[in-house]
Amino acid sequence: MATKKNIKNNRICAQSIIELAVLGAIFFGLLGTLIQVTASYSDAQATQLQAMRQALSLSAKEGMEEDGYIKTKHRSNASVLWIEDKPAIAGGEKYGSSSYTPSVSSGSGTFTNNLNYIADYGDMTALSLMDVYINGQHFSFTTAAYKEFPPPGDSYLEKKGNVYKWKDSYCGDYGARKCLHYPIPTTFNGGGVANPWYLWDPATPPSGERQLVFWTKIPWTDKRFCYGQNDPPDHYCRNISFEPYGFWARWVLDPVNAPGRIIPEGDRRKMQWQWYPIIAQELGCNDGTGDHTHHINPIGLGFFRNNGDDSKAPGPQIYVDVDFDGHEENIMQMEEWGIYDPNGVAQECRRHFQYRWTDTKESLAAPWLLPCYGAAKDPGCPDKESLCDSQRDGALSNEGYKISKVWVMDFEDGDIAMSYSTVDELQDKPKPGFVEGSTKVVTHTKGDLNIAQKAQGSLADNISVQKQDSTITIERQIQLSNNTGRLDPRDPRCCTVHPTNCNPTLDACGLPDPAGSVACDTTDITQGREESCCYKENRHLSTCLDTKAKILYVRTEIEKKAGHKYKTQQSTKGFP
Amino acid sequence: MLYKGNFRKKAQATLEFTFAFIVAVLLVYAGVKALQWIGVVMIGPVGQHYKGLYSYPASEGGASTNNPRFNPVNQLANVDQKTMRPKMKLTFDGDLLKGP
Repeated sequence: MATKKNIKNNRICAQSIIELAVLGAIFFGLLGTLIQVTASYSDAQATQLQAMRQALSLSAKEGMEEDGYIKTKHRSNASVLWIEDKPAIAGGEKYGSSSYTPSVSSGSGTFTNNLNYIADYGDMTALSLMDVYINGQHFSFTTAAYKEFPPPGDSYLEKKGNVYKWKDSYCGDYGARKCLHYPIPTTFNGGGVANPWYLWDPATPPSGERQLVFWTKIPWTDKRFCYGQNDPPDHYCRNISFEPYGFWARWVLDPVNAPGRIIPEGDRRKMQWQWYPIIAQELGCNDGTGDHTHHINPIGLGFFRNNGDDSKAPGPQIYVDVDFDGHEENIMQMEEWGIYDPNGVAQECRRHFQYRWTDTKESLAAPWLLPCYGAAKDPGCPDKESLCDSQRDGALSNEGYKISKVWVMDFEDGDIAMSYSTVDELQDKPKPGFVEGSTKVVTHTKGDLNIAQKAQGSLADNISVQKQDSTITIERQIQLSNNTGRLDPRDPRCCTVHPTNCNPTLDACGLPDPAGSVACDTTDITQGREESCCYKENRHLSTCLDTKAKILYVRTEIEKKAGHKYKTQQSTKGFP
Repeated sequence: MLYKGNFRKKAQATLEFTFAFIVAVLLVYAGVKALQWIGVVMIGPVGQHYKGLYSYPASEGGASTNNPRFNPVNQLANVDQKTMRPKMKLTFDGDLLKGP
């Protein structure tokens, strides 16, 4: 019988039990949260360390030729991006984890014995790779490529009469900034001459021909930053009023998007950098006195110039913008053509340069004929010094050798252009890397999704099963700068698919598993929206390259076992 | 029978105290254990990382002063990624990835 006193006692008991339960729940909840957070932190730390070890290991494997790797410069400075989707604990899930937390980490490592490996044009082993691991899939991306300008089969020059002239397509237009009437400094550093820069008279440029130029960026601390016709030596921007013929182009800082926008004179001394034109040819000659400080043209590319020879001249200018995309390329080789006519019999001459910085004496003692390139000039044609003599003596029928072609390492032409900047953005070039907000998690049902329960009394075993077996596909999109063929399993350049077509040790294929990778090149319009072919024809579950949009869809399948629930496996035979 | 009520009260208080004490001890134990787990989890990856690297003997190619057999690849491989996270049976530690 419930008396008032009993009820009061029971209430007190109930209250303390409830308090204990609530406080206990809060306490355990806090502990659970702590463990969850630290477990996530631990995961992130483990992944970070793994990325670092992987980078060190990759670099060391190539440096030491372990595990089938050969000595290359792919990963002298290995850079690894490591992404893993780890199961995470979310509230309210009784049967296991169904959420995934992406853990992203990166590491880099350098094994130094290949650090000074020399890059030659066309040597694929010298291209740097960036490694990306996504849930076990390994991709490698090149960050540069070899390219020749003009394209194969074309040349900057054409023969007109008995001389080589710049083609109009390359040198016919000032606006394209490819050619200028170039100012020629008589000496680089004054040298007792009042004007450090001798400038061609705009009204009567010599021979009326423009000079092909490439462009490099110089900082404001450079002596050449701003100079005028009547400036004293070492003026450092005290006089910037004079602009030689066509030379204003160096103040067009965005030649691709705003070629007509020139920095006003008053603002120029405030600028941090400018484009500076470099004459598109190898250095000229000395003046016959043996003094190399007096070059006819000390602001050419100067493959073989060094401070030992030209203490007053700048070093080689081999980082120049050749293709006028607003970024500098690295010139590795070049060819020059000229007509040699010492005896009244014109002879076509070509000479080939390759920039390879080895030993100072070696590069200067045997500078023009590098052993790796064999005959660098046609037989019977003048080499550097005799060309100078020929020029000086007027024996050459034209102005000398002119550049016909360059071979460069283009840092915008690899899978991923790391130098992406506003210039590219304004040209509507896609920004390389992971596409923002593109990560998707798609759940696909597989196997049974039914509740099979037979009627009670059935003679068969009554097994009631609820299953929610499904597969989760996590998709990430990586925007490529170029389709180099390395990530297209159909492309013959892809080594993994066609190992006989290329040297597999060059690691020229960036795909992890061609069997699971596909590629396509169409874009459909579905309900007014563009839809990539990577979502069509059973490609939606595979890692897929859309070669039209240059987007790599990286997909990971994860088995989802959450939701398994077995109700009973008891026979109902004996059920009353 | 005179002391029946008091005796019951005493017995109840003793039981309640014992029960509450056990619960309190369990809570403290759980708290200490959880902090221990947290410590183990936090130090786990770094500990395994250095354990793997430093336990690799110089005679096998581990790093030491002027070791001609030095092989960083093997030394790095001596760290077992699978044991980076301690087995606590608290969090899922299996492999759900189907592979590439």
